[in-house]
Amino acid sequence: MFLLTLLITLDPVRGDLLEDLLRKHGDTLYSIAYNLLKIHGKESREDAEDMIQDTFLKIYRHIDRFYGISEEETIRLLVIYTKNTVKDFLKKAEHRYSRVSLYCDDPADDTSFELPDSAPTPEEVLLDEESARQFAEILDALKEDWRQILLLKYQYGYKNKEIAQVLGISESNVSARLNRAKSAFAKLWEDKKHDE
Amino acid sequence: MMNKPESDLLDIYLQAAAPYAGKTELLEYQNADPSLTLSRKAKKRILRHISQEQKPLKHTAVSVHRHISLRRAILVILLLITLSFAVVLSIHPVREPTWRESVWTEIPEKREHSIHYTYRSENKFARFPSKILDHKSPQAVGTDYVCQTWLQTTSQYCLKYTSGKNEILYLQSLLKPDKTNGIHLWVSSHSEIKKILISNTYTATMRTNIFENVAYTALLWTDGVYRYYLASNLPPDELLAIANSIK
Repeated sequence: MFLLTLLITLDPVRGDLLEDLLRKHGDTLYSIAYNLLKIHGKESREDAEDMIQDTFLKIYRHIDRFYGISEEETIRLLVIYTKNTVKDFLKKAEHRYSRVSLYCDDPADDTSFELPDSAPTPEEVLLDEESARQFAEILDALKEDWRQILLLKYQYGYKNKEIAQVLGISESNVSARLNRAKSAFAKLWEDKKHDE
Repeated sequence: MMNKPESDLLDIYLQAAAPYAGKTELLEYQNADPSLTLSRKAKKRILRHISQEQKPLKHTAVSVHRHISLRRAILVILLLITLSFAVVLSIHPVREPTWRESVWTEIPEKREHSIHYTYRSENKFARFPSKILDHKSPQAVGTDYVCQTWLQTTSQYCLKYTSGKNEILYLQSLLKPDKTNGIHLWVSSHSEIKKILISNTYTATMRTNIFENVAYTALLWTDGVYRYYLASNLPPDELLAIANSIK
């Protein structure tokens, strides 16, 4: 009951933030959407505008996530929303012509998450800021789908249901993709360790 | 720098690393073609579309004015009901969480280089808090130690104490009745594992490992709401004293 009251009270505020985001970042996001469509041979200003409309609709539904975060975090999140809206559009467009989608998660690839096994190491050794940055480099080296899902989960604290809405995939696909992303992260880490 | 993650702690590493990641998205934003812009008309259309989403009642026969009045009336009624609830109920139940401690069964599973501990709640009627409600910490750590809050999330609270070569890692985690409540204790053929009593109340698992001629001790126990993990290169007796001082 209290939440409902709060929601009604806060509604204009939500609108203001959304308007600010659109005013400040709308053009750049539009440019990103247009270029992504262009790369896939589907350049169209009208479609790019529709993508931005859909992106901001999604943002409106998750607007609470945009409060209290830094400018950089906002930009990262906006880019993730935009690119995934376009990908979702391309996926659906592709689906109209072909039964097989390039973007569809392959359930057969749903390997359960396992860490690479090597000699046991004491867990007492800790992670400092420098190490966190090294891990971030590994995270950045992951392919886009995996990096973005890990960012949504671990930086922005999204629930699987919300991730599914942003990425335009089912909740079960979110779990599978998260597992694969974590496995890939662990493997890259192990590879980097061997290189060193 | 550590060599290998524990699967339970991988989430923590990812949480620590994620804020520094995402350079690609930032670069993409910075390198976007500035000559491509949304027309004013398109921006207006987007905002109009969102406001329609926001106000589905607009499409009914009710006029905008009546709709706003109705919203205000609902707001006032809801506020009155909320206030009534606050008055009728005592403050204590409103503010205090209605969770109940559970009895947890520790389920150890031996793996090649570790023992993986998961916890099963035995109380069907237990309710679990959604976040850590009281952050506890060891009180008996020497004054020469530097304390660093290494991680603080809704379900994990991790402190690192350092003094010269000595390190103490303290991790308080929310116990939830799902698969995520597991943790690894790394073991080798030289590891020693025994049960020990913490604060004369909780049974803890104590594991001692020798790694590069240094003995590492880890303690693992639960108090019905949280799982505690304390690890250090200090002698077991000193670590136990630190564990007993957690509050």
